Amino acid sequence: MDQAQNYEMFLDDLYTKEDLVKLLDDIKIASELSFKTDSTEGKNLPKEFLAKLLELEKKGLFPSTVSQQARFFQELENFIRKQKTVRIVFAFEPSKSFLKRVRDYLSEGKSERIFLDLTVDPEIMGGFVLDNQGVYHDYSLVGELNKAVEDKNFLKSLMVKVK
Amino acid sequence: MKTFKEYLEANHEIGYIQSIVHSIVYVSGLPGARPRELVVAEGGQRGIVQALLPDLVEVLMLDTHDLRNNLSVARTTESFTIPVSEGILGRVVDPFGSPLDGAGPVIGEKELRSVDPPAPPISSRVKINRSMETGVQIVDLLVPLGYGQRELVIGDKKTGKTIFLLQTIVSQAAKGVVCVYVSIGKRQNDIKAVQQYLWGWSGATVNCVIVAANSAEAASKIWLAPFSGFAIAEYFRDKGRDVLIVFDDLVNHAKFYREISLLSKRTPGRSSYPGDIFNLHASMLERAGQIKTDKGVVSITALPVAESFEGDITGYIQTNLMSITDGHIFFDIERFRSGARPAINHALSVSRVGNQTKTSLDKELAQKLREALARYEKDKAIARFGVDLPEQTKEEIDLGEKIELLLNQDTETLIPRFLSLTIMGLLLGGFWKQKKVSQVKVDLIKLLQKFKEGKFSHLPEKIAAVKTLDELTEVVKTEQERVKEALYE
Repeated sequence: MDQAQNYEMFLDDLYTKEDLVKLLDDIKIASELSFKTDSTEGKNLPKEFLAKLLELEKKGLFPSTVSQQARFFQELENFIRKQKTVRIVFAFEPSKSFLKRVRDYLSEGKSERIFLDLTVDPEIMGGFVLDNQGVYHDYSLVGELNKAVEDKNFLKSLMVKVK
Repeated sequence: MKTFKEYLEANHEIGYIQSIVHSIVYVSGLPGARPRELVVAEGGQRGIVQALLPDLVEVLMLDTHDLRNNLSVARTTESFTIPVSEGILGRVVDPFGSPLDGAGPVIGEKELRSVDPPAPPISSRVKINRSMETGVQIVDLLVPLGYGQRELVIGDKKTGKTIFLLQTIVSQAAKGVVCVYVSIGKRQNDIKAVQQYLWGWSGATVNCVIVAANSAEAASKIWLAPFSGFAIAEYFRDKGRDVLIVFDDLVNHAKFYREISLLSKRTPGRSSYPGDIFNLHASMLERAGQIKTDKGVVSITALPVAESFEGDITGYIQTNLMSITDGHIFFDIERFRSGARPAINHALSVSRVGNQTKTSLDKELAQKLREALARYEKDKAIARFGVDLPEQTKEEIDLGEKIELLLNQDTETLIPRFLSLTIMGLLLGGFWKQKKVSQVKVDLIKLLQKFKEGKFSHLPEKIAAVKTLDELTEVVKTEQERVKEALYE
């Protein structure tokens, strides 16, 4: 089995860059635990993370020696750091289900996972601003309004509506 | 220039500063960025793309204020441009084209000129065939220059390079040639002195522009200065005017480019300069030359300066520039110490294309002078032993001394071609044969004074018709009485 596939399972249910950062913290704690025998720090690790490690161990995919474990965590960390992020600005704090929908929409037709680097900026009023690996798209309400105002026929259409 | 937001909306490409090393920043994103492209940061700071790395774009920031990590950067899909207008003449500007002289904004209809356009193609180039007078006798007679030539001015610090360049500028500005003086990393005091000298001459204020990036500026701004100078020169060339551009100096420019390259961790080569230093200067100086346009034949003459150390002209940048240019004028520290002004060593100076612009008379005279000076140098070496010299040798030494004396010239005097030919015609015709060198010196001072008073206004026409050296001595002989009258009565 390809080691990358083992690492992939740690990314399930993660959608944002913040989630990745949290996962990196967990990996750091877990790798430090490998060298300790009577530590209580393991309690700080989330259950989901521990469950995934347990699952790997059951399958015989989690290394048994300390040095191999250290290498496993190091490689896992490198794998996570390589994940691609997309900067996205919302006008509001989105729910997890909404983020999942956005993430799924953006990664449609792509072989690799995408994680959202989220920023909340109420000034954009609505919609979102996207920066995908340097390619910038403004789908915000403010952007749309600006474009409409720049349109020569905008004032005319307003006048018609007033009439 | 558009704003950051406008560029972002137009090009849909954004990046973020990941690290800052002085004026170099590394930017993530910007997937379509191209080398030499202008980018704009969110605070309006401008930068030029230097290199494309696997995940980052290396940008040389021209504005280094308020840079911080994670600052957004947008592509412009344009190259860096500076605004140029006719109103820039008579002004001192920085490499961005903004005034530095406190005389208000540069007026006139501005045209945005790229600082790094391609050099004129071979098909539009024309052979250098027009002589360019510097007003400095030794150069005009022995190392002649032509319009469109690139001539290196090389020599030690404080040997009179800048003053020679300023004399050339004044001489050309009086003829209506646009002159661009680019000061690269010099002290503000030096720039002030240049400005004071130039603005002291009537023609200079209307035809000269000084582009200055002083030593206190950011390295990126100093690096930009010669490119901006060229952009200004090209603006006037495209308007149909001949242009003279002076770079003072390119060794300094290379040092600042080395600083930038070392900061951006490029592999250092000889003397720690980056590998592309030759290309940088060669591609820039390639923009000079004489070309034909729809407005006729126009030229950009480039006079780059290279400072040497203790007369050593074999330095890396110095030899690079020698091979790029069409010759060099060497300011010899030894000659300077022995009192020669300008301290040009004509024997070590070369003008590869200047001779082809000269008439047969000029060539004949130059040959005669060179031979006389060579004999003089040889005889001087023999005379050092204190032996009794034959009459002929004494005569040769006397002539050589007088030629050297006549080629000396102070900083406030410009000698036009006709006067130069007249002086040499008088010398070779035996006018000063019976006189001592000290008397010749007094005569020369008087002669120049009378010339300034307009005493020899009929001479230019007469001299212009002369074709050979014999004819010159004959014509000058007929003038001897008038000269005597002017000098001694």
